[in-house]
Amino acid sequence: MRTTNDESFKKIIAILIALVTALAAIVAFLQSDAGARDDVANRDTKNYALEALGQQVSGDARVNYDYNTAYQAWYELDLLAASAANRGDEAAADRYATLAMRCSN
Amino acid sequence: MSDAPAAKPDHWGTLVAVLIALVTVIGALVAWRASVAADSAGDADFGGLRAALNAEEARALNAVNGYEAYGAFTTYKRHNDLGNLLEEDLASADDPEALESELAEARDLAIANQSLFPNKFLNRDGTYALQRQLGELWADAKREKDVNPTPQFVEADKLRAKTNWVLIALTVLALALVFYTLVEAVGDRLKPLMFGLGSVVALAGSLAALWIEFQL
Repeated sequence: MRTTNDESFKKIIAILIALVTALAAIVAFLQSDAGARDDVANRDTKNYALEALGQQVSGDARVNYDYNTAYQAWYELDLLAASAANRGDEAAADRYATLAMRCSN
Repeated sequence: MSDAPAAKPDHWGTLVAVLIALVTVIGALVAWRASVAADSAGDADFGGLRAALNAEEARALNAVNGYEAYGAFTTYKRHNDLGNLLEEDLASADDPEALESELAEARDLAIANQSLFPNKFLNRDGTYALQRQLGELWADAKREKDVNPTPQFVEADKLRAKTNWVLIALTVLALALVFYTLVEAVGDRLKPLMFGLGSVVALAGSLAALWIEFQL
């Protein structure tokens, strides 16, 4: 009787070990899938950060041109036109106004 | 002489033990291939990020150089146009000497700025082809280094999917081990069924692993 019980217990243990092995394989798959998603998210984070940095530098270059070159030139010419008009030099005022208008185009 | 009957050789036990060992070895090989695929995915990601870094570096440098040249062109154009307007006004000027001095200064400044940007990007209508310059700089960067990360990211995603599929095949192989173990646990009548199921599942898992390895 005891031998029969021992045999049954061993069989149950063997089945449980096999089931745990199968479960472990499923868990390993799920872990790998989660790891893959993590890797993709990590990579995308770095990639987007790089893209953002590139866009920032390019944007800075553009803003630097727009403000420090184009706008400042227009502003200076506009002031020169106003000054020339104030002192009665209409020809110079026209020249600077024309240039200022070209700058704004 | 003993009267006890001779013990029957346990054919199922031996066969199942051999097959369990075989499936375990196949499982180890499949796990190795999954690991290799996962490692390659990481390498492809790294290559893609390097290309992305190259691309953004090139884009940023191109923008800085391009707008610097465009700024020099704008300054050149301003002084050149001022010179042209001064020349037009010179004929009818009351004080030509003052205008001549201003004209000479404008021309000098235009000439000084002319050398600060590449003249080949000047259009016929007197404007500056900034986009053409940026396009040419980008083409130069593409020729010098890898600036396209997309194919490597696609490859990495493909390898990651492969890893997952290989692990699914490994799970199927693990299921075969369950059936083989059950051969020893069930009664004589069900032994062939469990053995058959185990063998079918083991074969399916192995073939699936082979297909994934060579097709994905």
